[in-house]
Amino acid sequence: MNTTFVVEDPSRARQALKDVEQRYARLLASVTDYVYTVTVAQGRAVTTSHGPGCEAVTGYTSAEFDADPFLWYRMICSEDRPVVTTQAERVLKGEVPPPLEHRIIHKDGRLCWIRNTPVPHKDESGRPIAYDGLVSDITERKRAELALRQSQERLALVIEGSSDGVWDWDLVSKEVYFSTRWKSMLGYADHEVDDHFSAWERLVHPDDRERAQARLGAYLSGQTSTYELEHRLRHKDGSYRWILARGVALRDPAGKPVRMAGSHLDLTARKQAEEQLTQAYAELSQHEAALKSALQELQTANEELQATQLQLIQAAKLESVGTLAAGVAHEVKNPLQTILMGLDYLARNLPGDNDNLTLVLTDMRDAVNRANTIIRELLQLSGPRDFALKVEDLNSLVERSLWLIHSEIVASRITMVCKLDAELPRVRLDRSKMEQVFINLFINALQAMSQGGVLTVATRHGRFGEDRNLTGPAFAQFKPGDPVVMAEVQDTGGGIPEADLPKIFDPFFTTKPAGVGTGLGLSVVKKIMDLHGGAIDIRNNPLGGVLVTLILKAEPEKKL
Amino acid sequence: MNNEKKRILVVDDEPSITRLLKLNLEQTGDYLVQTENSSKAALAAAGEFRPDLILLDVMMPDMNGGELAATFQASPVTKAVPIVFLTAAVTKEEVRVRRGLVGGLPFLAKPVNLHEVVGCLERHLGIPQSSALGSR
Repeated sequence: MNTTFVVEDPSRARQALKDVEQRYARLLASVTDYVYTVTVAQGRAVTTSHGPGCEAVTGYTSAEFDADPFLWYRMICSEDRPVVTTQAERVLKGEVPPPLEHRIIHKDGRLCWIRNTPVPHKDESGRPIAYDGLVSDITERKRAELALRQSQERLALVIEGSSDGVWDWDLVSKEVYFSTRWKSMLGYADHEVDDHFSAWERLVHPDDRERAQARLGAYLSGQTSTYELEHRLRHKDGSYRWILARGVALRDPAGKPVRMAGSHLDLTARKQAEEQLTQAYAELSQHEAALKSALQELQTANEELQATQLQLIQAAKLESVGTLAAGVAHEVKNPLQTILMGLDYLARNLPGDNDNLTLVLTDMRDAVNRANTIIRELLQLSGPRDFALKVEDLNSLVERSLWLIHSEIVASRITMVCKLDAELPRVRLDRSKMEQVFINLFINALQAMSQGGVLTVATRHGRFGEDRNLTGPAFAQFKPGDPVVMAEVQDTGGGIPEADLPKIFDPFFTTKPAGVGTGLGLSVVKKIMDLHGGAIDIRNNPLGGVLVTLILKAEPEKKL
Repeated sequence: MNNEKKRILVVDDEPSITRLLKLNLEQTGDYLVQTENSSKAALAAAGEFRPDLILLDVMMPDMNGGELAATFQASPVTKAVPIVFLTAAVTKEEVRVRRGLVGGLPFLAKPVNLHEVVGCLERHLGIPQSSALGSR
């Protein structure tokens, strides 16, 4: 290049020069190729000239190469020198070797990659007379290639080293890359799974297919922002493995997914562990429940034992009272006989009319009757005297008992409600004793409703155990399912104080005013029910009043 | 009522009972009563007194009422004489349920008032029911 400067103003000239230098420096920096020429004579290199671009690529100027004929060789990285030498030899022989990529040490000490493409020139006889070489700086390309290779290697290492299977799905071609681990997780060798989306579809458990496709569709359509799916895939051995799939889609500028890649994690062991844990927990819960139940039973048994003990004590008390009563009854009745006869005599021999004396005699006669009642009830506690069981209709017995106290019912102004079970099975009982039971209960109810009320008498039948209130040691003589007949006597009076309930069968225990009851009525009732192999339950009705339930075994139906 | 008084032998080991029965029954004007307080004495008295009916306690120290009744029934003198037991050994309910008979024999359960005694005697002596005692 020839440049002519007309110096008009030295300062402008300096500026112009500076501008040219800067432009040159920019050009030089952008140059990545240069050409060199080697002349050849008799198969040997004679001269070498390097084009001006050599400075940009190697850092050395053409002049420096001219001054040092071996600079080009020394510049080559020592490990690459043999291949470069070989290439040069081939060119000198007239061959056309392929371009060679090798390393050089830049003048500034950097390691650079160049691509050397020699082009031989021959004379008419075919002998090489020179060759040109195009040297290109490929350092950047090599660096990018290395980075890419390292990245790929790193990815390969990660995929290889991870227990996850990897998949990469081209949504356009439907082709899928399944990693070796993806396939081996399901027992397949590399060649046994098609690189197609349908391969996955075929392996999904039928029960999971709809859910899996819905989840995938929702993610691809943008309805959900992440893709994560637990599903079952069929193993080569026919079993199913729980797989956690996660993935991310690449989308085109319009947002349409074009590619999706992700991983598979085998959850089977975790799922099995979870299942075992759940099962173990369930078993533990069962054991705990069984333990609680056993404890409850133990507590119930203990309570029943205590109740039975109380009953035994109660029975023993009753027995001793009865025995004692039988012993003294005779001794007491004779004096009563004397008094009664005496009263009769005095009544007939009173001097004139004396109302007060008549009143006193009447009171004394009542006292004798009352004492006699106590003795009679005590005797009834002492044991089965003339206890005669017959198969009877309890309903008619209830009706007769009501008739026997009809006048008391009328006088008491209470309302009677009678609900007798028309289908009531017959019962084996002592009619006289059971009448006494009902009369005692009716009298108690009437006395509890001195201000009026409702006396309800009901009979019903069923199987023992159906009425959950009727449980405990007092019913030990019944087995669940036993056919039973029940009679209920219910009043609407004031009820029994809860604290008194355990004592109501104790002889001489009474809640009635002095002189009204002997305190033996319920003891006698209990005794009679025991003699019948039946039971009695007395409790306060939640709505007020007392509910007495008598329960007796039903007679089996006679077959005709 | 026949003018001739019915002769009643009352046997009980309690003198107060026999005494008051005698007073009460004889006061009706219908009965002549002899009382005895032991079985032996009763057996001895029966032959001479020739009762129309024997009112007999059951539980007595020397010989109980059952044995004494058997002895009376075995004796030609008293075998046709009706016997009514007056005893503390049974209850009124037992007597009532069995229509006044226990073991086929008539019973009165102590304590019993005069009205009941007279009613029972009249029944077993074949006398129409008396109203002499009034409604008491």
